[in-house]
Amino acid sequence: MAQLDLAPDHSPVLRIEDLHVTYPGGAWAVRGIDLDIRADEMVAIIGESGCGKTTVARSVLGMLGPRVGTSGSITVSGHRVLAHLGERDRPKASERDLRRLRGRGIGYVAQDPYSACNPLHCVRRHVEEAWRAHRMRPKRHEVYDSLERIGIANAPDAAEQYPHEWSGGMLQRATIAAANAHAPPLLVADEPTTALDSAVASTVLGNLRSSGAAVLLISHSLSLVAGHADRVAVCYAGRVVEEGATAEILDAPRHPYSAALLAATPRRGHGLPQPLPGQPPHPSEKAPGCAFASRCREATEECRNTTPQLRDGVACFHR
Amino acid sequence: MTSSAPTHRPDDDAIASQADPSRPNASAASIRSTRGRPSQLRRLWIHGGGRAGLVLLLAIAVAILIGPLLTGEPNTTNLADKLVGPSVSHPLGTDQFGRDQLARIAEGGRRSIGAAIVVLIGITAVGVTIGVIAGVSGRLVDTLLMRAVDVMLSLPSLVLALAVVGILGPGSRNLVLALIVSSWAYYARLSRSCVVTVMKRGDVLAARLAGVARWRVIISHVLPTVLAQIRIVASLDLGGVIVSLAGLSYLGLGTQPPDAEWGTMLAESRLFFTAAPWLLVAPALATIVVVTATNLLGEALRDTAAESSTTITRRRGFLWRSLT
Repeated sequence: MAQLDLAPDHSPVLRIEDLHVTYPGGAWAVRGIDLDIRADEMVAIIGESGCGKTTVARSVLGMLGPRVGTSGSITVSGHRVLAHLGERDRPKASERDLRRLRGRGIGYVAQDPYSACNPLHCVRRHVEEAWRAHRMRPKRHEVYDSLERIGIANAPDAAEQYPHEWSGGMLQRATIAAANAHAPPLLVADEPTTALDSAVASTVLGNLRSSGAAVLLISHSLSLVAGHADRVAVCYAGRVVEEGATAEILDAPRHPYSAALLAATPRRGHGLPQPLPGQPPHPSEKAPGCAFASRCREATEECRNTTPQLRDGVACFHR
Repeated sequence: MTSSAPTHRPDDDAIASQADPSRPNASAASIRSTRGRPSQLRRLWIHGGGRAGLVLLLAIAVAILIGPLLTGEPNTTNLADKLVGPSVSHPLGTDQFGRDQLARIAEGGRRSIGAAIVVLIGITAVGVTIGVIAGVSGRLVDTLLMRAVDVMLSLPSLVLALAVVGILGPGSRNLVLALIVSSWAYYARLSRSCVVTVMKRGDVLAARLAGVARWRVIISHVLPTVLAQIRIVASLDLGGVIVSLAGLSYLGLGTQPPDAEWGTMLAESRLFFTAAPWLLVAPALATIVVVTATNLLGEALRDTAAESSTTITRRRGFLWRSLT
């Protein structure tokens, strides 16, 4: 990766193929995920805690650590972050390649903007750092402009303040401005609205949407996903169990887990939320069959013995 | 990137009221006034112990910097005036060679405090460098360096310093080197633990995910936090280093006569303790005052490092309470 060429073409910005991730100790966090994201598209991965959402995001960023076992392939704008074993002609990126790709090829928006900003640095310096990371020295007005574009009023004064002096929503917008400093083709947002109230969260997702990049959004909030994401991948126990257009999945979920997840969310006209009984399987469990079978009312013997593959957007024998 | 219109959200009101010039009371000045914490010096001044330490250290600094200008050469002998008690012409008396004790105390102070500062800078440079390398490197380098630190910490530092001076020979330069060699390990361990904690922080992760090079992350995110911790420990250690220097000089391993240094002066004065007790009192008292001042300042630095100004204000009277 001598020169980072991010020229747009017709291939997906992000392509994940058969991704498997195993943590030290045997936890099998991701068990064969395939996902494509095209330019200008926002794709949300939703699911319970521990289903592998964040692991997928960290895999895309190449931040899993040396002791984490991975297999499969991840390509961002034609650059390999992770390669299949044996693909000697296109090996996975070195640490140096990843550093060059981060910021310019992939932007990252963290869950908690306060912890993502150094408390000793003013907000301007934090946004500036995104430029300086790739040996660029932005003029101050360029930094202020980037903040004003994302809705920060009176940026020249406000940017000289420290993170603790900003509200969560404003600071999250500043981290989006920093992530978008080099206009990367892909933004990875790991639950960027968890620490925010719903109104501010919607604005933040709107900012992400208007950045012009393809967005991989990790989220718990179905209502926010409904309003912003183009496509949704429902994740359960390290697998994508349903994938499709947001409206289709939220209006008429086909997989029993997607339906249960929606039923557990408060929605107008749908009565009280119905909690999903039972617990997801432990990540170290390697039993065959559908991981959701133990919690599914429609489960049959086939579900318990054979793992359903994702076909026509759903991984269920009964759909 | 397409631009989006500025919006106001309920949780943004507090900041927006300051940042938006269209709102009442909004101005750059009002924003600056919300910066909150007073400066480090101001916080030290509010803290009772810090104020006492600052005043004492300032007085000592003035005394040792201006003193020699008023009292003349510290090594000028005048055997006609030997062992003269405190008087107007010699406020702290004279020693066995008729040298002015005040001039020698001032000169000795410069040497003692200067050497202690050099020792602390040396310890910090060596310790922080090794600690940071251990903290950011892989397991092998980390293990090797930390086991070396374990070995260093298992050796009594004073005995190690004696051994090093024994090899290098006595002299103030060698003594400084010996103290650096014998004392860096604790700073390395402290730095390493601090680095390991900081490297897991969200802002470090965010910086790395923005493509910031590792060395730049270390300089802009890790080192300021590590040095903030080290600064407090170093200020608390300053007194101890001065005592160590004086102690080793007392044993004849530091500054050599006729140059003045508080430990050397104490060693010389013990022969005349009954005839001229002021020779013993002055350097001992000077050492005690400096060590007390640095300890007060170090404790104040530690207390004010993470406190709000309100909490510090409540500490008024700290010195009086400590003494009573």
